[in-house]
Amino acid sequence: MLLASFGGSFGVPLVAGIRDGCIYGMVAIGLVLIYKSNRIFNFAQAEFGSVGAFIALAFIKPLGGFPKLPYAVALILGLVASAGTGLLTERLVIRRLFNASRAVLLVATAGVALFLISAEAVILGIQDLRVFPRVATGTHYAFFGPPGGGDSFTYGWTEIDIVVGLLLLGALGVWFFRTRWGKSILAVSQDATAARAVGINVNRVSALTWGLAGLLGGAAGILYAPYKGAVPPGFMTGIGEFGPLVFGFIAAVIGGMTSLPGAFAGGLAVGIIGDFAEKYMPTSVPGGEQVVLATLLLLVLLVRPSGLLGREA
Amino acid sequence: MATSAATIDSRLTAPGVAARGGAWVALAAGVLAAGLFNSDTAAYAITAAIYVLIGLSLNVILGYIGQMSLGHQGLMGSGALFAAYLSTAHGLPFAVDLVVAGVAGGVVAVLVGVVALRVRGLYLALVTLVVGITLQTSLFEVPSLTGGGAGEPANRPTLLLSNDRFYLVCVAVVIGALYLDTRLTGSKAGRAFLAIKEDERVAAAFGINVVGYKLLAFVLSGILAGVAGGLYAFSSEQFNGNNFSFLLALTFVLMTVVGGAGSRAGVVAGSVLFAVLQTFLANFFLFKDFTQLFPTNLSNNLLQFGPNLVAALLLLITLAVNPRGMAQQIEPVVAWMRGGPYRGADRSHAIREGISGRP
Repeated sequence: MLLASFGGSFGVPLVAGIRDGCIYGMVAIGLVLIYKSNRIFNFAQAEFGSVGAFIALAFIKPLGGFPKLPYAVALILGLVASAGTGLLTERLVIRRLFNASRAVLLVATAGVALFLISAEAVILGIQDLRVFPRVATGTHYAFFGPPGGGDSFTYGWTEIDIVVGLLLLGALGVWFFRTRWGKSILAVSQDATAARAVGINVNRVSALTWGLAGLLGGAAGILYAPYKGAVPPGFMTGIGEFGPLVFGFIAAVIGGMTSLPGAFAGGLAVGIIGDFAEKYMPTSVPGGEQVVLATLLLLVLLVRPSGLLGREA
Repeated sequence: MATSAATIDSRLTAPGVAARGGAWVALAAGVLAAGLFNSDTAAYAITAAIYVLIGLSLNVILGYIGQMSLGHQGLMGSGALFAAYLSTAHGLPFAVDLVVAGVAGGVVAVLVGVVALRVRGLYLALVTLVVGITLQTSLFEVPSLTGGGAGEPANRPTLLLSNDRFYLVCVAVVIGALYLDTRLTGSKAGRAFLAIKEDERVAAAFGINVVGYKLLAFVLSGILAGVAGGLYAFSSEQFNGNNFSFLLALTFVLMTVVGGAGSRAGVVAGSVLFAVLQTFLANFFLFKDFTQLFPTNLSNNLLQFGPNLVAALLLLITLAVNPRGMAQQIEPVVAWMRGGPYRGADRSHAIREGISGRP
């Protein structure tokens, strides 16, 4: 294999990039879904995932008065919590502001994000960070280089992450383009008035969209938390660092903000470029990965504002 | 603005003038008393003054040209960084540091603005979000500028060592900013901003240089944020990049919207309210008693993060119930103090202000 000749120094950031990219892709698909239906950037998208991850963690550990449940059940409950957070956001905030300007809606989602982060911080505190356990662990990734050669990372979770990401993408693709509900989401996103005229319940579709976005955020959250390890409140948004929210936004813009496959491809691109930048940018430049990705975002917006697969800016 | 200086006319009676004069004196006394009461309240008041500057800065972008910035912590931090660096590494005097802080904020804002001119709509929110966090993780971590992990010290001049004197400097800067802001909204540029906010294409059709005025708005906003950052560095007597996180940017946007973007008085009120929430609430005895109702862990967290929770709730309530923010409530009082008659809540301007005129 060609990659093997580069050894771990090339293979590790590549595989890690694909692993991260799947998570960023999921966040990006959630962002694109909401952008298509409401024409806003949902700054609370990644925080839906933090909520799910913390709920799952509460059942796994268990924390507080939560009962201890099997890992799989806890993850499912976490996903339910994420979807519920998305639904509640739609019902309590977005629908009330249906006639407000998009700038107001944008501020509202930022407010939801701050609310969720603060609620997590109040309940959990930031002093003793909780470690999210992994269901599968190993020591070294040996596909692309000698094990233990300095460039290694814990595997097990990586394969799960990539497989789940690709399965989810496939399932979403089928669901969107083959089922009645999926097609009505696409219809409403293209023209809400016309969709209502042909008998689609626009309110129910809006709720469905936000619930689905919450679910996607939750999937990203419970995949990201175990490999991040110790999770502070707001870890999906990223306080003082690029979190999956920011990576997801860059991915969604690269993908064109309106294309679901584009968002996932953008996620993979961001993940791979980010991990290579982290490895190869000189350490004398602090935050090399962030500088490279921010430059990438600005370049895409300046040169090709409609993204690689989008139809409009 | 709903009322202008033109409404001050000869119909004001002597008691009317006296009452309004008394109200202004009381306001000035209140502002001064907050800083001169003791060293702790002076520290809160300094934070409030800095927040007011940031609020005015964000108002130029959010309220005047109807764009969105989620990266103002980056502009503020740039000002703070260069003020601290020049003061400590090169020993430049305080006043020069503040000027350079403003220039630094302005330069960064122009760089962001150049990109912003190319993208339409709300994409600016994304650009500023990413640039703000990138500044924090890269520029604010450069060891030679920021003194490594410990942070770059920014020592106040001996004359301003006490909080109350430093507060007076902050108040002077705020008054200067308010004066410039008033002159701005009354000028051709101010009217151009409003036209751009309503509709860029229509504004361009009327011969307004949309690109130029947008850049001007960015520069002004950046300068104000940079100066605020410089004051912040000297108030905490050091620069530490960790202080300029994304949460701060969120707080700034929230306080501007809760205050009422587009309204100078509203933004000032909102900024003061949020500064009080962030600094004073955690030390307020009633709030402390309230947190004692919870287990120790929870009460400590509540003291630390409760203010953010309250801020987020305030924002959501404001947007749902009262989209023009605190400006709507204080409008009659503001109008009266400017020499007009006292009118109850007047909703005829409801469409003109708020963070965006268009649905």
